[in-house]
Amino acid sequence: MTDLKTIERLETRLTHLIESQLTRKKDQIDYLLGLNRIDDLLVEHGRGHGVTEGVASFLAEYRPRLQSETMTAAQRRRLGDFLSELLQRLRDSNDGDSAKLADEVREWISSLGEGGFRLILKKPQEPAPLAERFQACLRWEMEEMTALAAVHDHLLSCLDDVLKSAEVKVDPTYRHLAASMIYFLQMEGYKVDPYLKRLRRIQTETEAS
Amino acid sequence: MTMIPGPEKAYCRGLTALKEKDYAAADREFDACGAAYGKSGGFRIMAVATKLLARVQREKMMILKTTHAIEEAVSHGKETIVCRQGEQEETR
Repeated sequence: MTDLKTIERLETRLTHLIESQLTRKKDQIDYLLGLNRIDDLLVEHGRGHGVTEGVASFLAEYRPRLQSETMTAAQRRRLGDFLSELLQRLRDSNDGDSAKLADEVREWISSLGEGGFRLILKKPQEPAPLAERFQACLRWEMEEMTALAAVHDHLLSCLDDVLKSAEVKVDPTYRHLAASMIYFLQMEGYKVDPYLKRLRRIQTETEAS
Repeated sequence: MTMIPGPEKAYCRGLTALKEKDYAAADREFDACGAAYGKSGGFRIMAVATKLLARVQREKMMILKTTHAIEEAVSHGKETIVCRQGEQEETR
């Protein structure tokens, strides 16, 4: 019984420690979970499932929490990226409910400030030189590859993950990364035909849409 | 398929599990993203506390199960004795 009491005291203290950490980082956690919720909705949409109810529920729950003044500029930009992707999907849906939700998402993006707004309405006036954009692309790919290598044991699994991302994203960087990985695997003697076919199919579908 | 890299996705799932007080699930998710977030002091505190709490809860369950099993055995033993005494009395 003494053991049980000791264990229960420890349980109470650890629970309190975790709860206090969650409370202290509430804004940051709400932000991350909000992004994660949008991401889940995008994945659901990519699988052909309806997301109207999910988006409505997300907006009701997270819009009041994720206010511009509680976020850094980088956080606003990233949220703007996610919301822009969501907006694109809602526009593609072509129904009344989606149109209303799209209006609300557009307002939210506008309220995030110039960074988020620019993402969907206009391209930069003077794009950076091509070489700089390519370097930025490679830097981004390096970061993505580091994150993928942390969760997958083999490059083929990383490639599969990247191709899945390329399937649901308009951003051509995922296709570039996939092509680079396929070429490398081919140089190393791997059979890459199935992956190459997948990439070509994704490329064709993206161009068609 | 996703706009969030795998480790960050695992971190989000871990946080969701924490909010739902499912510490064992949170521990598994934090283990999955530990390589990417291990350098962050805040993450380490959260992950270690979660791991410890999940372990403590497992230990508590073990103690409770053992205690329950002992109580059942003792109770069963008493009933048997009472029954035997009754039988003996009836026999008498």
